[in-house]
Amino acid sequence: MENIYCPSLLKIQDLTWETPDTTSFRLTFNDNSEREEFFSLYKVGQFGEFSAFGHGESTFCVASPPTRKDYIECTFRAVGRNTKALQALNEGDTIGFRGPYGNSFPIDDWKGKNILFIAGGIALPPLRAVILNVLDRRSEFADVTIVYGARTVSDLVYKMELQEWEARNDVNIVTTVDPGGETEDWTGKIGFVPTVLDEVAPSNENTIALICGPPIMIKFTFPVLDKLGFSKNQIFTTLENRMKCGLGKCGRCNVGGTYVCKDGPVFRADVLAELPAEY
Amino acid sequence: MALSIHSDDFQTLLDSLREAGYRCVGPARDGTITKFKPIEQAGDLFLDEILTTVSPKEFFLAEHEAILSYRMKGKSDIELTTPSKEEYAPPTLVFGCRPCDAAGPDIVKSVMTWDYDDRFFLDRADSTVIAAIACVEADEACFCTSVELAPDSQTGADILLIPSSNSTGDTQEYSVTAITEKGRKLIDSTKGWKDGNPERASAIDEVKSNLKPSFDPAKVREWLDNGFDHEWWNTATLSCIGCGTCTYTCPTCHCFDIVDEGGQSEGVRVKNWDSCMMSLFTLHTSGHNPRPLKSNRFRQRIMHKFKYYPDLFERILCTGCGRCQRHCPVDMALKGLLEQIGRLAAETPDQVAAG
Ligand SMILES: Cc1cc2nc3c(=O)[nH]c(=O)nc-3n(C[C@H](O)[C@H](O)[C@H](O)COP(=O)(O)OP(=O)(O)OC[C@H]3O[C@@H](n4cnc5c(N)ncnc54)[C@H](O)[C@@H]3O)c2cc1C
Ligand code: SF4
Ligand code: FES
Repeated sequence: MENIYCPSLLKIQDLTWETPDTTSFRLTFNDNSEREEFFSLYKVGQFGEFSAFGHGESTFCVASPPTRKDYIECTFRAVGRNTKALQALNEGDTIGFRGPYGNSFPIDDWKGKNILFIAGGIALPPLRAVILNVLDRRSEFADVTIVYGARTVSDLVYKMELQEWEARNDVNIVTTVDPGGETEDWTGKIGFVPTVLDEVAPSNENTIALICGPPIMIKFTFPVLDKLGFSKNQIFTTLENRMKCGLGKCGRCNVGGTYVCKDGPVFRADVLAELPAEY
Repeated sequence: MALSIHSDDFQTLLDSLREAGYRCVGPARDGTITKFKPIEQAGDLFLDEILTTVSPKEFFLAEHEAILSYRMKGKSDIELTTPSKEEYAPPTLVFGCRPCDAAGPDIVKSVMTWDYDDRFFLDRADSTVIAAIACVEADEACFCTSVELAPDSQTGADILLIPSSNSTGDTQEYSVTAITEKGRKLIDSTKGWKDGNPERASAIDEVKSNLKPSFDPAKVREWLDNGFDHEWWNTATLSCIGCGTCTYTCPTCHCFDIVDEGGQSEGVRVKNWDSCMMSLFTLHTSGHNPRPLKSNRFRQRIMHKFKYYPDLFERILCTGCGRCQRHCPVDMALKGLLEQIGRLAAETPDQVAAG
């Protein structure tokens, strides 16, 4: 019988420092059949368990899209034991990975629609996979708008990609930093994400909104979306309940009777509103 | 053909089990508590207690077990090894547990096969035979009959021993039923069993009729459907000190943690029992905790057992063994709490998230 807890081995092909405490890995599978198996299952929005051997496993979303099949990427902040150990590794080193787990964003249902991405701080990674996936399949979708904010300029992740997206004429991107977080050469907006979203005022018509960020940002963004006429079934977000197995066994991630590792991490806002406030 | 076994023949059984390649674990004293331990001498079996302190769940879900070992090869290559079934799941007879303990693994199996198969649980379940003994005694913490089980239920057992009326102070004859193929095979390959159909001890049926169901799990589940925000949780769980004894002694609690033990170059990844009664269980690194209060955690435990698990698998995640009540240092009585919920449900038939 297969050992569901046994990870695949992946090599760190590229390591990028996004901010002073946040790193991105581009990872390649040591075993090609495991890569093929992964991509036969992987849908955008899913997550995995990433491990530095000797330190444990951490749940990160897969930050690269299923349309790029040579590698997977993840972006994580060093906050505890395993994330610090992962960050201490170098290019060429091996890590463990289990996944893909959980549900996904139903982007095939969104063909022909406008897509609005709203992200704050380190929460861009879960949306970045969707952004890249949508851009890789650009002709299938209508307008693409990205509103992304961080506390300070140095807290913005994927700076290279933000510039690439800005350079495209088929993406409308607005970046912002909290007041006081700007630098002299900052050309983006200054203000909190909900305020900036209110200014940008994207149309709710034929639009799907995806929102990921710290709880406080989400709390203040929902009223703005409401004001802009978005109904809850147009809005998607993700939950980050603590996880261990990712497989529905360890009994840790549930919100009411819903297992975030199996029925999540992606939730439509109207479905989320039905769940008890246990996240 | 009807079968029986006499306690005088337990040693014969134990000796033949060893020859047949089984290890036998049974109720035994362990310091101030009782638990399931490897038994070689019939005299070490301690069958007089209503229920051991600790359930035999560790033979299905080890308290602490390696699920993987890793070893650095060269500068950056890593070798992973999964322990073999032979190492962690030797052929085992769990002898002399109560029917409520026999039911435990059968119930937990649903989650261990939910989309993904946990081989550590399943391999153990596969190589383990359970011989349960029906109860001739119950105490005020017992409530198996409220959760669809009974002092002589066969659920999860491979062999059921029914105490007969033929007993003296320290000897006892039992009638024996092979319930599964696995049980039948074990009986055929070991000694000590005899032909015969001794008369069933009347005490079993007395226990059965005295142990009337004290709540209706369907009604409890209905109340829980809307009871998440009810104020009852706050008052009902006030005395809990969050020690987790209930979850560790429980035959159906199965939550676990995964951690690495060892250094960067060599070590093992292990699964450890964990407990939803601990505040660290759900704590994020950021400091945010979705279940910050004791009452939130106690609610989780009851909800998981009597609503979430039944919703998912149509099984109650509780065998009514009563351990969580018997060993609770502050006398939190699960049975009593479920009775209270039963009464709340009756008082407010159309109750909608009151409180
Ligand atoms: C679905 C999902 C997606 C996530 N995606 C990302 C991501 O893309 N990038 C990123 O930086 N972080 C992400 N997180 C949070 C990340 O899992 C934790 O920050 C990380 O596990 C902390 O690990 P640690 O060992 O360094 O911390 P420690 O505090 O040392 O960890 C102790 C244990 O707690 C667990 N844990 C602690 N906090 C969390 C948390 N918030 N969520 C889940 N488990 C936690 C860890 O897995 C670990 O087992 C995600 C969490 C979830 C549930
Ligand atoms: S919840 Fe209590 S009564 Fe039910 S199986 Fe667990 S320990 Fe026994
Ligand atoms: S993470 Fe283990 S059950 Fe969801």
